[in-house]
Amino acid sequence: MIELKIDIDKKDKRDFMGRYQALYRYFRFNLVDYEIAETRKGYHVRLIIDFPFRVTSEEIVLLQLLLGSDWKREMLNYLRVKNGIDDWNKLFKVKYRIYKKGSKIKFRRLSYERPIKNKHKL
Amino acid sequence: MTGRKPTNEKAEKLPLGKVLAPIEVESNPLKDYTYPYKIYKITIHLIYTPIKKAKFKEGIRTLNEFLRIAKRRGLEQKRSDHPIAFEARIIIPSKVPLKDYEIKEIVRKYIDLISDELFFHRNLFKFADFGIEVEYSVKPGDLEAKVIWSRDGITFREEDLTKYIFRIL
Repeated sequence: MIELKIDIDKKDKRDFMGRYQALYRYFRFNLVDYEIAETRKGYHVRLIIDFPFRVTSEEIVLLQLLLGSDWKREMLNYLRVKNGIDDWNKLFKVKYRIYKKGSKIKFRRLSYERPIKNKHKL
Repeated sequence: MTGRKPTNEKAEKLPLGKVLAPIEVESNPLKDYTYPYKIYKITIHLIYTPIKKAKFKEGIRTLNEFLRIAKRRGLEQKRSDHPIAFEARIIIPSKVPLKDYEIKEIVRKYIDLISDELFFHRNLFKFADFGIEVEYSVKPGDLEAKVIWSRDGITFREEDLTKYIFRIL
């Protein structure tokens, strides 16, 4: 059982649909659970998938890339995997930028996930 | 003027939920009740962006000049453009959902802790981002605080700050 975290940086969902359908057609995996959240730029998709074969961390990065995840994020993920950093697959619910005002540390929200109101009417 | 018709008209009408559910699976609506513990994973990270010109105190004008001097002093860097410079993580299991201001306060104190215990200056965090991930669990889980950094992008060092974390929580 693996978890794929896909960061889609555009509001157009057709590209992701096509990629997901193609992947399903070729690998015939079992989708156990999924979660989709909307962000300012696009969508965050979390899929829990039961593959019929063993999948390594590098292959998870490849699958995320095939499903149209942000290439920059996947590049950093690959670097983390290659350097043996555990807990490498990150997809933040909320993201803040840290800045300093005088001697105080402040935060500015960059992005956040919000649930899609009507999933089936997406 | 006649515009070109969208070629993937059928795919546009297809709801995403339908595409994502080839075996009729819905996400669990009782997640909050069935998994009593929430595990907050907070990551502070600094993605290195290479600079051409930097302000150094000792009259050095460029980064290359700085690297040349460092090399002469035996502090050779293998790369000057390493992509991941610094990552600090803290994992907090909680039975009650944490509020936004609580998480911010934890991050603020964690930054203080890192600058006290390790050699990182507080100003470093001016260029950092932090993100929050929430996972659901049936077990309480363990507290964890780690800092990973690399000065050359090739070798990564890891420091465990878990024993200090009780000081701030």
